[in-house]
Amino acid sequence: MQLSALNVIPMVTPNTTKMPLAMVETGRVVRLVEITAGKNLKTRLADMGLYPGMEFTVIKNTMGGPFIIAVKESRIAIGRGMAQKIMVE
Amino acid sequence: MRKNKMSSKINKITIALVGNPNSGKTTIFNKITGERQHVGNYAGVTVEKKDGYCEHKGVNIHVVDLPGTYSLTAFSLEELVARNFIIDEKPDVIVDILDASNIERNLYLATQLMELNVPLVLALNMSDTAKLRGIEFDLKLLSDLLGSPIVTTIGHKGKGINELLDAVISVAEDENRAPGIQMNLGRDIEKHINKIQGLIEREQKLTEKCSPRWLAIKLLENDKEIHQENWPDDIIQATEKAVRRIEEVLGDSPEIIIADKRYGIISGACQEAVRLTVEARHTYSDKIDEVLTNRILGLPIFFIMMYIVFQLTFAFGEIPMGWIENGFAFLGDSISYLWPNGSDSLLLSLLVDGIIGGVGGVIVFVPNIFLLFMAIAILEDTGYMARAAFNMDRLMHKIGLHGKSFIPMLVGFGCSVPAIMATRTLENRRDRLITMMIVPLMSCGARLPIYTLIIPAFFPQVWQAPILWLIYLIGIMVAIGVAKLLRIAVFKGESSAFVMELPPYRIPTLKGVMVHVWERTWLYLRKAGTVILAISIVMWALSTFPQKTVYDHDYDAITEQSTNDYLSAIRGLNPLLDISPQSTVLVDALHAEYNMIEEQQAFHPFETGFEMAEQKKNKTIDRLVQSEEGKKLAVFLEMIEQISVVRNNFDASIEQNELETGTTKYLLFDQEKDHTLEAIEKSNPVIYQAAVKYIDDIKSPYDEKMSEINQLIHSEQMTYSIAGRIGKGIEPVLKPLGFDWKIGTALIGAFAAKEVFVAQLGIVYSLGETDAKSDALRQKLQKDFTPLAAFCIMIFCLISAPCMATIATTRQESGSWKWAMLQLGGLTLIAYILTLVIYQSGLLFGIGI
Repeated sequence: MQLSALNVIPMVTPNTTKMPLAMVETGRVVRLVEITAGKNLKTRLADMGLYPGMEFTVIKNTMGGPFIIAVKESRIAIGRGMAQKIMVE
Repeated sequence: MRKNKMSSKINKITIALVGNPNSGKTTIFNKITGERQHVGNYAGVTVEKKDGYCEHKGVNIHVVDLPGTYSLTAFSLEELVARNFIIDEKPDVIVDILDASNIERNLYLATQLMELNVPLVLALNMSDTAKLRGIEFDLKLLSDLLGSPIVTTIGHKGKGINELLDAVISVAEDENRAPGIQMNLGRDIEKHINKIQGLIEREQKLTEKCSPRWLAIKLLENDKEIHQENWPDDIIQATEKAVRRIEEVLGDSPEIIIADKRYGIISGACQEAVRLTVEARHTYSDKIDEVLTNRILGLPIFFIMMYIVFQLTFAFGEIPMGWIENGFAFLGDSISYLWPNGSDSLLLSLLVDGIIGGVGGVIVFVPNIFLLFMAIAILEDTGYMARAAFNMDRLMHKIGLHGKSFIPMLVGFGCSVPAIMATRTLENRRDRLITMMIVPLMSCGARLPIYTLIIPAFFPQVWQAPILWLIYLIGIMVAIGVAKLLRIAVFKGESSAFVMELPPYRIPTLKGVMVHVWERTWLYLRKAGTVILAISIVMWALSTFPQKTVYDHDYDAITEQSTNDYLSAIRGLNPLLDISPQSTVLVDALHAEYNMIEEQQAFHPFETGFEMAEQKKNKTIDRLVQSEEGKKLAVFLEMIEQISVVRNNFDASIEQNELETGTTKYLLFDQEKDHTLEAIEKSNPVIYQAAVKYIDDIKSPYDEKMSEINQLIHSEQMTYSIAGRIGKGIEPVLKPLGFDWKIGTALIGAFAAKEVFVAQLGIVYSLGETDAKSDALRQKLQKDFTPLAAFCIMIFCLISAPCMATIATTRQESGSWKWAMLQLGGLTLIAYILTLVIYQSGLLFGIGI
């Protein structure tokens, strides 16, 4: 038996623009485009379910403080520095 | 143990539990093994190892709880430990615990286990919560898609545990296990995997342990650990070429592409077998988070929580600590009754001062550790700990630490031992080690007596509080500096990004909390405790040997001389009492008392010899009272007794009420005392005068002289001992800091426990028992040191060598002596340099000299 990856078609309107996660307001649903960081960090984020193409909700964006995002059913806290490196649309 | 594969009936297997953090893995582990578990560290690393046993359907199952991980890459030590265990120890079955509410992310680890092609059982845990959230599973389909048996469990209720063990045994018993499902990572990747795999298959030596396909994937993923293997050049070249090709064609590094593919496969399987009947709602956890991670409320709530934790650990812990201390004091006394009173037997000293003192020094921390870990377990099990880290992250990040480092650092102000144990809450090895290293810089409670002794002796009232505050602040500043230094020098290049999962809030179970608390306490007693005990005995020996047999002064002769002077001074009272100058009644009576005390020293109060000595004295006195001048003698003795009682009562009430001299209450007691004494005086003014003269001018100086001789002997012994010699030996090194050998010797004592510094200083200054409030010791210190040197003593005590219990705990918690020695040596070095700079610049600028 073989399993293969499904080609999940992104359901995002084409005219959205790329921006760092740090600028996204609380409550918005965004899609991860890319992570402009080292491989180690990228892999660590992927391990926690954050990989390009996945959608998540910003639960909390505190000015100057860390973030909380909802990735599927889990809540993940992200430092502000890292939020600058995560590009979303 | 797969050797047993040939027989269909097995009786002994090893299984490993893996799973994401917060997947309920530990709860399942506790349910499976019950009380039969064991906690330790993996050899040489800071990662905790837990295992236990259980029996199911006649099969003995050895259960190993591997560290909670999201993945099996080689990025963190936890993941590496888990992966190496699976590859090297080849457990018969791997059980992957999945959080059913968060199935996709949790299956990511499962896909990596499938790549390793190991016998796998999936436990869909917390299935009740998932059901509540409207998640439905087609278990049969999901199991077929993933090629592994799936069992639903509800960990905290113990549901599904038997079914899980059934599945484990049937997988273990399956002789002809079909090779697991091979995931198709997409044509672009697969073709490279196939090529490298083909090359690897030729290398038999390398494929013994794990599958060639897995090795090929790991090579492509640029896995550090796998790349370290001794690969032939053609494989390295092929890998490099493949990595370049993938980056060109797919625009990202292979590990990211592969991760993406794995998620794609999971997503595909979940679309078929998992159904969400209700749209994901704003859950109760998010609502609690609104408050607990609130911008304004978050920090105050956090500080209140921390205050409660600190109070619970130390204020509440003080009560049982008092019992333990009293218990050990009682035990020491009881044992000393086996020897004649005042015996200087070495064995007795070893038992009481070395062993009982040492064991007591170990046990005394138990209430702190117990209560602290109870608080921590509750914070962790409820899910608040992650929020605490979230709240503190901004602040802690600035000083290069993790938000969770705050708790150990706070606890460090109470005591370093539980604080270092509390670093276990930090998952990351680097954060944990850095925190462990700097915890002793938080000035602990045992160092306070040193400051309270020194500060009032050298600084005017207005400066006392700021100086104390400054010392604590210097500790924190040095800690920040050390943390930055370690980050730059030792742990450079390791990512410091803050990403952390916030688990949903849960209600902790009593059993879960108690298992956690018991593990910690037991671990402390068994590991740190034995080291502390051993060092205690060494410290005892250092201050006991070599024993001085010939003293510098002939103390026996001095004693005899003083006694003779005392007796002749008594005879001088005869005229005052109107007794003939030649009469010896007075001398005989007081000599009888002296003899009684002398004789009683060899006995414990409950022994007959003790009472016999008293009877002997009474007989002599009775005989003397019968004599011609006996009547005056009787009045005189009675008067002495009365005056002493009144004075003792006064002193006792002052001490009991902790009254300062000159306060109104003090004056009231003083007046009352004077009235009573006046009444006594009126009854016989002449004899009263004689009695006062005897007490103040004859007896008190004599008693003082006797205790001084005792202290001189003690002091000579201490100076002669190894500790004293080391103190003297290091004097040249300490001189530039403004210290002398006495401070050196006290510092050696401080290694046993910081508060010993004060007592040891008292001994070398021949003051006998001293505490932090001893004015006599303060006067001696004022003579020997300048305020600058005194400040330097405090700074050195703050930063230098943490006490042995701290070192032993660091050794235990870091898993190697290396870190413990770095802590001991590094902090002492920093203390030396800093104190040197402070002292020398103080001298240069003429501050505090």
